Amino acid sequence: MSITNIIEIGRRSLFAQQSAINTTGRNIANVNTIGYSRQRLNLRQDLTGVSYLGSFGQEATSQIRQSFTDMQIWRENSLLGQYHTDSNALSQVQDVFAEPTDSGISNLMTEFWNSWNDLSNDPDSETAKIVVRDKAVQLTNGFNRVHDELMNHQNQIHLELGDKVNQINDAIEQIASLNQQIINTDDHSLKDTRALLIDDLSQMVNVSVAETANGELNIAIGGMVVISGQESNKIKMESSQNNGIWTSQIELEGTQNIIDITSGELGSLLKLQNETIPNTINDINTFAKQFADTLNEIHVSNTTWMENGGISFFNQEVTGAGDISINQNFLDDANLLGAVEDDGDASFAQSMFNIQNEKILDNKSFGEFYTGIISNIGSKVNEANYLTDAQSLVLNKLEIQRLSVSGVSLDEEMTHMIQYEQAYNAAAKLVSTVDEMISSILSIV
Amino acid sequence: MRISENMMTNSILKGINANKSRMNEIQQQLSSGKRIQKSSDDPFAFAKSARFKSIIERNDQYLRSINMSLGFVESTQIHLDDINSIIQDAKEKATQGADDSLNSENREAIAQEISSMLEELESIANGNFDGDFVFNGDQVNQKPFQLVEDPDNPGFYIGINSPDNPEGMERKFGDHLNIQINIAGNDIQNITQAFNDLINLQNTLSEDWESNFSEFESQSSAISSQIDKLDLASENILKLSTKIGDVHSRITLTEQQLTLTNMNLSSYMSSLEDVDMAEAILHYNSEEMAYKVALQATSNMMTTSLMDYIR
Repeated sequence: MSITNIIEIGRRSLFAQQSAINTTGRNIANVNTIGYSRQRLNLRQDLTGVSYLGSFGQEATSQIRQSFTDMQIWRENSLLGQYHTDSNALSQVQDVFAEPTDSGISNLMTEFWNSWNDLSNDPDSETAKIVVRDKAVQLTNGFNRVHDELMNHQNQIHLELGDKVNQINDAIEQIASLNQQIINTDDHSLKDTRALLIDDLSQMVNVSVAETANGELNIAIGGMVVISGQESNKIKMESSQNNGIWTSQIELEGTQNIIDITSGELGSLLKLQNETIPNTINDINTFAKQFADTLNEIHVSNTTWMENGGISFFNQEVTGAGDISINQNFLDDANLLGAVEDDGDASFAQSMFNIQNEKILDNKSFGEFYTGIISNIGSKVNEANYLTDAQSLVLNKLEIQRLSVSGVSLDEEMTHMIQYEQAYNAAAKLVSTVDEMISSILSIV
Repeated sequence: MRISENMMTNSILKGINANKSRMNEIQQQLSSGKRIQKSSDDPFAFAKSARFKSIIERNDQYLRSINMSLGFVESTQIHLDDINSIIQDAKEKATQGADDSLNSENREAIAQEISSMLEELESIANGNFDGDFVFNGDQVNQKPFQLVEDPDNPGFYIGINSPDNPEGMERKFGDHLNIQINIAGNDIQNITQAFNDLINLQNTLSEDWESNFSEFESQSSAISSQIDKLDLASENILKLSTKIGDVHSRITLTEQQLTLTNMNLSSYMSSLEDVDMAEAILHYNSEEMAYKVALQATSNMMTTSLMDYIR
């Protein structure tokens, strides 16, 4: 063994410790970087017993990542996205109804019934009739407002769906191109970026991820492969509109294959747009139509004695909450409303007042049916809130697991730093010792 | 378990956030006083309290009807009492007129007094409450009674136009409770009869009493015979008073029941949707405590690191 070989050992170990401190420095620098996985320098003994670096740079470092936890997070994330979107969107639907407040349909309806009772106490009073008319106008406006806002809301969700599909396609493209770059360069930060993108993607839609032997990630949405190595397939939304209500499905672009979206933000929005909101609109339409028909029937049958025959209370062609309005003739002449042959005859107004007790819709009174709609949405919001909380806990656990493995610990890094620093000092000492030894030898000569 | 820096910050933030959102929730409940502000807060209790609310509102409405109807009924009672006192006055005059010592001039003078009594009776029988005629069934806008004056003999009346079996007015004071609040149908005949009795009395007091009451020996016996009729009339009007008094007490009883029901429902509703302040404040305090402890621990923990002990 030559003495210069010892200098070589000292030089290599200086480089090795320096690289180790470099890695430690990078870890410390990225302690707060979202998605950063801590790196570690792989020091190995070479055949001659000298610690060496295969070659300098990234190849020697490796990333500490547990792909099992990643896969779990990507699976659970879509449920969180779904519940979270459900909770937000349904709360908005709930807010549209503005219950329990004075401007809610429930209160407007009560005031409307009460105005009929006041009229029954003084059946020929024009003032009482004007009150009935105004309460009816307020109530129909309430119906119109709720209907229009629900339609707007559905429209809004339709636009959001389009945006979401674009976001998903962007993520798909980026992941596919990262797959390629990662094979070519093996840069750790690219892997972190890719994992972050999949975090986002998995929140938007239900994905299944599989890792290939060479480190590429293949991704499928609802059983349809959207990323296979460096190849990507986009998704697209097919929509149709009927009476202003949108229905959409998600297909694989360029094919007729329908993708089964079961969860994620996209899944939630699809279900809201295709089912929940149309069903609510349907309920409120059924309610308004039945309300108008029932009141019209009684109003017509009680006014047949009049010269021009029975008159309806609401407009004749009510199809739902969107177009319900009172008979326009009442606006000119309130006396036509609830008109009675004998001035003191309260039975007409009373029979209108009595409708509120009758089980007309699904064996429920109007008030009960309406409360049913509201509490139905209320329990959906309640459930979505609860599930969001529960799913957050699940993800929080997984996130902690991931951070426990991949996260940077400053204490640990500083300990490493001291460790490597000492080793570096020792290596430097080695070089200087060898230097002295060589000097000694040279002085002999 | 290996603990990394972000793990700690993450769980600290999550914990503090959860703590704050619970505090916010309690704070909202405390400031509004309501446990249920949206149906999603407690869908079951919301539906229940909505049902109670609709019952309470409906009962309030019945109470309003009751207040309006009570006015009408009380006014009917007053009018009936007035009618009765006129009959009593007339009876007094009849007793006075039956006195044998009176001459026809004196009786003529009494007859004139009866005339003004008839006019007063007409005005009472045409009495209204809030513009609605009390004794005309459901034809509340038409004047029911109209005296017919003798064209040959001013101040003397020969008949009364009265409503023919007017219809009753029912008002609704409960989901299944309708009460007729006016005097209607045959009962109106009793008032008509009072008019006729007074008209007859006036006739017996007039100079040509014999044209109508020839079956009597003397004018005083003819007049006396009317006194019994007036007694009967008074009795009949009293019966009507009792009847309307009964309606009045039925309505007030309903009023009491409705008020009681509403009180009970309101307190039950309040137990469903109102915040128990003591409990909420207690919760708030314990959340606040937890919040403070979390902040204190965090601030201690985050400033401590290995750094403090290296050189």
